[in-house]
Amino acid sequence: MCVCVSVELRCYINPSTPCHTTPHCTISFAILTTIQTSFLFFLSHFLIMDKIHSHRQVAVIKHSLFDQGYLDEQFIQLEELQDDANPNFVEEIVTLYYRDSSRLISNLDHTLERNPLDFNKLDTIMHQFKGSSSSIGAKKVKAECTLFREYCRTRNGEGCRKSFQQMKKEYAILRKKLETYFQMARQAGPKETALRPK
Amino acid sequence: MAAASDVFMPEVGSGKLHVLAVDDSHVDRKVIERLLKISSCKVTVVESGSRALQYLGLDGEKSSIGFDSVKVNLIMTDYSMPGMTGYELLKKIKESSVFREVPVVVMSSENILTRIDSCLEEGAEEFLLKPVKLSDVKRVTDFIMKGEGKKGHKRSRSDDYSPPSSSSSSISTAFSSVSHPCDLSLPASPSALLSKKTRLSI
Repeated sequence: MCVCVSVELRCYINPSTPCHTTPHCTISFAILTTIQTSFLFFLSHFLIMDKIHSHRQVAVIKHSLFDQGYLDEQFIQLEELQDDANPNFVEEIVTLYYRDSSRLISNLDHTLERNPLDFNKLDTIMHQFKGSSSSIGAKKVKAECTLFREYCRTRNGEGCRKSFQQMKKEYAILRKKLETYFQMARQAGPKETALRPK
Repeated sequence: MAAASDVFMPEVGSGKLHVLAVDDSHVDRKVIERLLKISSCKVTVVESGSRALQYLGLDGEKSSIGFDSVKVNLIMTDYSMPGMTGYELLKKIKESSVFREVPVVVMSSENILTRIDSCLEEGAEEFLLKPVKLSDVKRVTDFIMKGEGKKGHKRSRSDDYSPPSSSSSSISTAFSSVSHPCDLSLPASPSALLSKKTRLSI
């Protein structure tokens, strides 16, 4: 757009006469300025709207995580601990959780292969997993952990195995959703820049 | 006791409580550290009871003569830990002449009444249910800060069984702050212990 207008402007400039004395030049310059200003106006609005839209998308994802019961109040508690100096606190905690979880899941896998099953050991490991799941607000995972521990208590090996499979599924789903959530949140950037008036 | 009061008072000038947090879970350690930092505390985090004793110089390795006790105003420990449980750590701290006056708060994900009772009877200041919230931590640290002001009331077992008086108001604050949705199961007052005693004597 700018190129077309400047070409048009150049048509009216005669090298031999000073630009500002040519009436056509003045008018074209005025048109150019108006068009450029309007363009920038719409562009900046578009960028702001895009930012707001991205933030809205992040909010939508977050809402569904809560509505569908993947996360509970504890996640919000953690978000409230974030500030400018610690903007990625929740993501750091969740990353730690993934690391701990991988270790504990692997441990549970091995312990479930034993014959006969060591229910006390299974319960101890699951207690740890439940604890960290609870600390990040992983509601569904935590519920599966509770179920698993109940099966341990009643020495129900089959129940343990089924519950473990279900728990791994829930964990995988949650992990995927959280990864998407954090990625979108990072792309959307800090909220303040989107809403701060220029 | 001179040694105990040295340990109990916060650093002069800094105004910050020094809290020792003990938890075997990496996630929980990071969370409690953040909660305490936000509550304007200096934090030391360790991963086990034995590490905590090591830090406090209670592991028997260093001789008490010439060893400068580390200054800690509050100890927050998880209950269920491999090796030494939070309860065992609590007992060791209360057995120590240097650190017995330091308030100990026990944290647990399990709301087991007998567990809560035994911790409180052993001298725990408070029993917090996990996941621990910022409001819990702030309440505890505020309480400890205030306690620094009214030092002089030495809390002992006999206090718990005495009839309600003005001196036991600080005890009831501690008891009433056992936080959990099922608070109904645990009557939060010194009279709970009193009634237990009366029931047993009948």
